[in-house]
Amino acid sequence: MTTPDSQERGQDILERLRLRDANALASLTELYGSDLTRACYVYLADAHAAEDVCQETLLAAWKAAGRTNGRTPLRPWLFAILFNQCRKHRRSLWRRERRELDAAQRRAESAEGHEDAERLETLRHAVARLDEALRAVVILRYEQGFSIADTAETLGLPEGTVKSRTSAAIERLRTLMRIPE
Amino acid sequence: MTRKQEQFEDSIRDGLSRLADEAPPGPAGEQIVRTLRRRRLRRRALAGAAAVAAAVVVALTIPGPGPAPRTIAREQGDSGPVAGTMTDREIRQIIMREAQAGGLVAATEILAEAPGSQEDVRKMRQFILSEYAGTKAAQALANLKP
Repeated sequence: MTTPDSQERGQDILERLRLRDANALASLTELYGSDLTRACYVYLADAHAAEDVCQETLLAAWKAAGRTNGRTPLRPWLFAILFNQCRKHRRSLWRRERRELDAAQRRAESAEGHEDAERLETLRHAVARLDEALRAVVILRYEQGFSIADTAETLGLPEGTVKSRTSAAIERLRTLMRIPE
Repeated sequence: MTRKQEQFEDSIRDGLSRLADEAPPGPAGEQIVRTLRRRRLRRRALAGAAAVAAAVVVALTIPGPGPAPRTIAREQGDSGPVAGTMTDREIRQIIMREAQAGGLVAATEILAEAPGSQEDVRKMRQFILSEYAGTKAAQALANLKP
């Protein structure tokens, strides 16, 4: 969740990044590295890939900082880079997707009998099967706690589209998890 | 929003949070800065290697001094062509000097990344500026702040 304090600190970091201060990159990593890795892990369902993509995201942010201005909101900007990097990773590994889904299915099957673990595996499997556009919305809104406005800013969408995608994603998850309305 | 729907969204929120808890810890700030420096070094080393390779190619492809000097003719207004002669050997020397200066500047940039190298970098700069004065690389170096 973004507080005014962390927002102010974020803007200071972005300003220093634009001035090519490497310490600002370290501060950015300390402030958002964990959030980025978590979101990335849920998106890709792969711990190693999450670490790599998170690192690439931070380095890409360093490179792209010069193209921002004083009004660029740091957190949405950073997560926009993260999802671009996730998509890039996906494109290069699209063949692995099938295997990941199969693995999720197997985990779900092996978790049978443990109701709680089973529910978690069902969710993991459902998230992996969501369209990427819906998955990004779900992660930002429900895992990272982004507001509608920040989600719209991150994904470059109108707020109305974010709302409709959120509803669509919830419906889709409900269907995939076979939960009655 | 119905109560049931709210409950479902809460369960998604909770479930995603638990899934995210399985994520590895985020990278450390120092680690990212080290990676950034390593990549910069690699890029500069590549640039330096490219400059050296270019110098080698130039040395191998430009022929040595032949018996007849090549003549470079330049038009100068209405006074007709004035012969400014430059031998192949002179052309070769100019190009070699430019390539060497470029390689040295790239090497200096790599050296500058190493902690505690300020004194060596200063000496390298002085050497390049005095020995390769007039080259493009030396001019660029002179325009840079130390």
